[in-house]
Amino acid sequence: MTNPFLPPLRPPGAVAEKRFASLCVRCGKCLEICPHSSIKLKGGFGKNRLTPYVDAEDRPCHLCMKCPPVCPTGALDQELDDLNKVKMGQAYILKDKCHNFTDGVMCSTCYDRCPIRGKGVVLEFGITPAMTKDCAGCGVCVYVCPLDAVVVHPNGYDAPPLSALPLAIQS
Amino acid sequence: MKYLPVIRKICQLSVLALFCALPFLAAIDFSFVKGSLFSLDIFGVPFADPSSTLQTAGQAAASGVFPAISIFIGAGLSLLLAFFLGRVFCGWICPYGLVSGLVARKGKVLKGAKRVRIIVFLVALALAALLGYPLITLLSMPGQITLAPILFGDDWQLALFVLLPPFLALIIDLLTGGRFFCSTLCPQAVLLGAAAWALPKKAPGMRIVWDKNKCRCKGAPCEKACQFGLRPRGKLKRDECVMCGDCVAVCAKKGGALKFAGKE
Repeated sequence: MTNPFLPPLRPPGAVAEKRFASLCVRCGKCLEICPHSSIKLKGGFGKNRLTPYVDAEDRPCHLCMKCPPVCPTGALDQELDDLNKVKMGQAYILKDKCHNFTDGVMCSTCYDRCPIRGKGVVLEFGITPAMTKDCAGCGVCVYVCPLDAVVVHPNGYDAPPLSALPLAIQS
Repeated sequence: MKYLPVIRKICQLSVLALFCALPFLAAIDFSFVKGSLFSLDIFGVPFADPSSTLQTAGQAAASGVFPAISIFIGAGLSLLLAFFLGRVFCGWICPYGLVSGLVARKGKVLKGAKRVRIIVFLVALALAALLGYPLITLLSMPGQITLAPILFGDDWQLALFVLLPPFLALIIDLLTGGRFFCSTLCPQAVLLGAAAWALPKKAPGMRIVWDKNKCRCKGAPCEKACQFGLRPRGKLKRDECVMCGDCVAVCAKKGGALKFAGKE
């Protein structure tokens, strides 16, 4: 069950959420260029009508960095080409669902599949995965997790989920 | 000149077909056109919908940011095109113009249509800047229609949903029997019309000219041919004319008094 109060997860390089809908011109170029069909457009008749978002549970962003340069208005930062600098949101491991913290099965799928491997997710004590502050928020871990034990909170929603594993402290 | 309306329909249909083919062209890595009519790249040359650009700029300025320069270049190029060629976008490119032109039965527009659309445009701009609501996006038929093919493969329900506003506008057009939406509500008509109107009288630029000496027929078929209820004889209002050439085609059969020309 996803939190209904979460703002939409925007493509890489998006400006702050409260400014995004006003900068986006709804041209669909980001969606057109996305090779993974990860970008969708919002429906409805509200403020966010036809603005792009990523539904990580369906198809996560793979940080290929093709969409920021094509944005004509800078709603996505046109200069952004380094996937290590992306911050779409923050992923959290849910302790009450993750294999490692419930049934003791050793699983590191999120660590293995992270596009910025070794940065977004680290293995604490060399065994259990833990998210870091460098997480790009792309949602690949949400997609690959066998137990739905990872959630991404998009930028603009800072509170972690109640059962979240604390972020790893990096040296 | 006799075949002008046919050539124009082929042109409009090809534009629509091109946008429908974009997802397939992109799939074979042959995308010389990118985007929709909100913002478009043709061989790397940017074009943008000027009214949506103005809305974005207004909204963004109200929230303290500034859009990237590329969207202004695109909007500027579109306005420049309208400045020199008139509203050719409305008459030859816009997919909503195509369908609306096909259903229009009589060349009558609302009295004061121009004033209404300018007021609607200004209200929409204010709404965008104050409340952040993108009404101009909702009223931008060409942009929304060309978004639909991009969306269709992934989410056909959303594609149909995006086509809802154009569909409603078309129903209004059908009920009123004319080009109601284009003349009374379209935000593109405001800025493209303003750019077309701004061309000085002596400056070179496409227009329809009337040769008084050749004008012989009775009943003014040119005025009946115009879907926007304009009077091509004499001073044709450049901000209202969409350069469709229907009057020129009709006139060619009679005396050929109306012609496209590069200067007065």
